[in-house]
Amino acid sequence: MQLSIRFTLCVLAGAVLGLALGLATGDAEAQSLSPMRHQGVTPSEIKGFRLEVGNPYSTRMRFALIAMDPSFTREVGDASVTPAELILAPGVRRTIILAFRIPASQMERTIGLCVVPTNIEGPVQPRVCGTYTGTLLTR
Amino acid sequence: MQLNVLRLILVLLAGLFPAPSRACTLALGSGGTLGLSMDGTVLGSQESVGAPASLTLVTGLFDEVTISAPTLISAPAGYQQVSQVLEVAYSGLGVLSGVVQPYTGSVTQFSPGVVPLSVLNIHSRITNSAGFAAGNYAVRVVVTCS
Repeated sequence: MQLSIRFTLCVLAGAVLGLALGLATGDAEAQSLSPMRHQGVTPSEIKGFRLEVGNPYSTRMRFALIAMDPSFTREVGDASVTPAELILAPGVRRTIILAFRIPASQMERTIGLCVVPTNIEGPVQPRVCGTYTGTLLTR
Repeated sequence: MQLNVLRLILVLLAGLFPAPSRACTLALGSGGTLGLSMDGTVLGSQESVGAPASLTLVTGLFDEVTISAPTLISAPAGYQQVSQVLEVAYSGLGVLSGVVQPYTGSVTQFSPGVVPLSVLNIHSRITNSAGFAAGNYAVRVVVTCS
């Protein structure tokens, strides 16, 4: 009887873990920009974020990575995205680096980053954008 | 013993599920086509040979989707833009069936919440009482997930 309960628990645990692994993996592969929001402190005047860009399309895609203001209305020139353009195979993700300067007078700065597919023609331009806040470490 | 097994399962589950607010995916299915109305005053995706653009979304808890006002990005010479009105409309399918936006010329926004996979159909149109000169026309609507 006790053996039967243990066996049932093991089967249940296996089924739940299998489902959890499947769901978690599916979500990770579908991302096109992750994380969408992040913040961190920096001891220097430059703050960098390591982000991931993924290709959710079923074909090879070219993406432009554009540093923008936090409302995503205009590009900002004094931020760098490396690389600035990506060509990704279907389902592939790649790490990118966003870095920007925080003026000492501001103490904190938020930058937007938009991922825009460049080889899409037509009336709709999809883009995924995130915001990233760097704060100067006070001594 | 059985309680320990259950606790282990719960701890593993908590670690495996990612935070839902950390991801957003937009994938364009079909780009859409504009067609001319019978009276020649509307060029839109709901006219005769027109078709909507179709967008697939996967969003997290705190993600917002913003649909810009449409802009005219190309038109033939001789086209009179003065009297034109550009508008966009959209509606969701499946989990997003509650998202319905009639034609508007303004920026609109909605928070879909956690959407595993759903489709948004986007219509755009140009209304112009002066009609349309022969040639190619293109409008652009920017859809932002943030």
